[in-house]
Amino acid sequence: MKSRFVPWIALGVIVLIIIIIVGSLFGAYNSLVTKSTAIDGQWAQVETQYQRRYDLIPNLVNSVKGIMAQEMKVFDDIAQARSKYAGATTVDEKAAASGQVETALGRLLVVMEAYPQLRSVETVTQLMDELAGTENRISVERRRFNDLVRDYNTAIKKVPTNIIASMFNFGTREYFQSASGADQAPKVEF
Amino acid sequence: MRQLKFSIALAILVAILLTGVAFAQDFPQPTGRLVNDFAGVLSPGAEAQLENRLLQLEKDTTDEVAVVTVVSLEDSPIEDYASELFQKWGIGKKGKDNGVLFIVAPNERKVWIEVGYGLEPVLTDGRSGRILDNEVLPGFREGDYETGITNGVIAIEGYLRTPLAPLQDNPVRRAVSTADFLPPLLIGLGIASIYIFGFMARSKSIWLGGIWGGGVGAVLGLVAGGLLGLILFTIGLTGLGLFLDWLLSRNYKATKSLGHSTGWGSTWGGFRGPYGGFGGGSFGGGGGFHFGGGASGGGGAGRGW
Repeated sequence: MKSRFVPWIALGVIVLIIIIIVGSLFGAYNSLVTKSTAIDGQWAQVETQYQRRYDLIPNLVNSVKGIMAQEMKVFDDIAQARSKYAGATTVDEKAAASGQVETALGRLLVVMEAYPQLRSVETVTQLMDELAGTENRISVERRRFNDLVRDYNTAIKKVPTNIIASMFNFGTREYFQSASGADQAPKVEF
Repeated sequence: MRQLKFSIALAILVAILLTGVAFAQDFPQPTGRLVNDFAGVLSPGAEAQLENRLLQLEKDTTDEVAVVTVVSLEDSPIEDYASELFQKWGIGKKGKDNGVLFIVAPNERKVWIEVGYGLEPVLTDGRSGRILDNEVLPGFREGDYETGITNGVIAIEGYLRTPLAPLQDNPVRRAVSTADFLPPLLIGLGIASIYIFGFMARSKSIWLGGIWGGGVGAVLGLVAGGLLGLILFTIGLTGLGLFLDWLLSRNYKATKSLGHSTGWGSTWGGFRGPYGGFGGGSFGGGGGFHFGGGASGGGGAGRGW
């Protein structure tokens, strides 16, 4: 009586094991695709904020140019960095150009401290708030980008995802690293 | 004995599914209220008034404005602390991202207004800065936090109630992935399966188990891996369902023939056989969180005083 059921139980166990293996392989592949797509989406978020900063700069420059007439060098640097960012097409170029924008912007902010009369101009303080908020957005989105990259890079090294990763060529992704001299977003304290 | 092992395996599976719920401990837990005066700078009357005001605002506009005062920022800049707390609590409705976090650190003398993605066009950084300069800081400079916070909230409410700019959609929203609803789906199907198998154990036929298994397999397969997943999971879980129903029907007969109770409760849904018992754990209740899972991206303005 009992021996009659043994093959069925064995079959059941084998089926269960196959389901678990196949299911986890599907799951692993899908999770890598999801994580990888999330990184691309997050980079787009970073670029959205770069664009926002890019659009803000001319407004800020125009609002302070009149008062800071003798600081043409700073404004030239900003204009140059800005046009370089406009011409950048690849992710690396954009990261490098945005580093340059940050450096130039940082210098403008330092120079602005020498003009306390700017503080009483309503449009200037408003733009400075927008700029400070944007710099903060950039650092938030960048941090999230790096968190996602770390998450993904850990996943492709772990069992069993690493098998799937090597089978389907999921390589490690690069962290965002700011260009030298601009590893911090410019501090806007106005 | 086989039943015992199966029960243990099931308990372990449930435990694994539930471990993902753990929360990071560095930030205060949401209290289910919109006004969270952890630093104790508000009088009870003012706190209740603010809470009512913000609840009314949420009712009218669905916008969630949270007021938080903290004892310490734990050495992080207030803008970082604010955006992480915002993310942890998920202030605002999911998809609309219409939350605002007004956070005050009286000991560090820092204040920040963090604005959810969805409200950025209405409560711009410039406007947040104006609110802080004109409404909040005058009170704070004299140590009158209650007036500063109340005036700030009234000003924020003013902007939210009269949307000057139409709400635009955030250009890049984080896509909702299948991973978001997979755990609840698994838990739900698992619990339903346990319950249904408990009843199917009573029937002589084992086909019901197979049909349920096939259905569950089809759903899971579709979520996990498209067409191939659909086929494999359906076939696999149909087999598993047949097998389990057969096992449970046998268990039921054995229990009954020994004269034991076969009620759903006393047999743990049919999984407990006549030969030994296994006590299951209990589910912990989820917290009644107020917030709806909105997101922010560091927009807003801050000041020190």
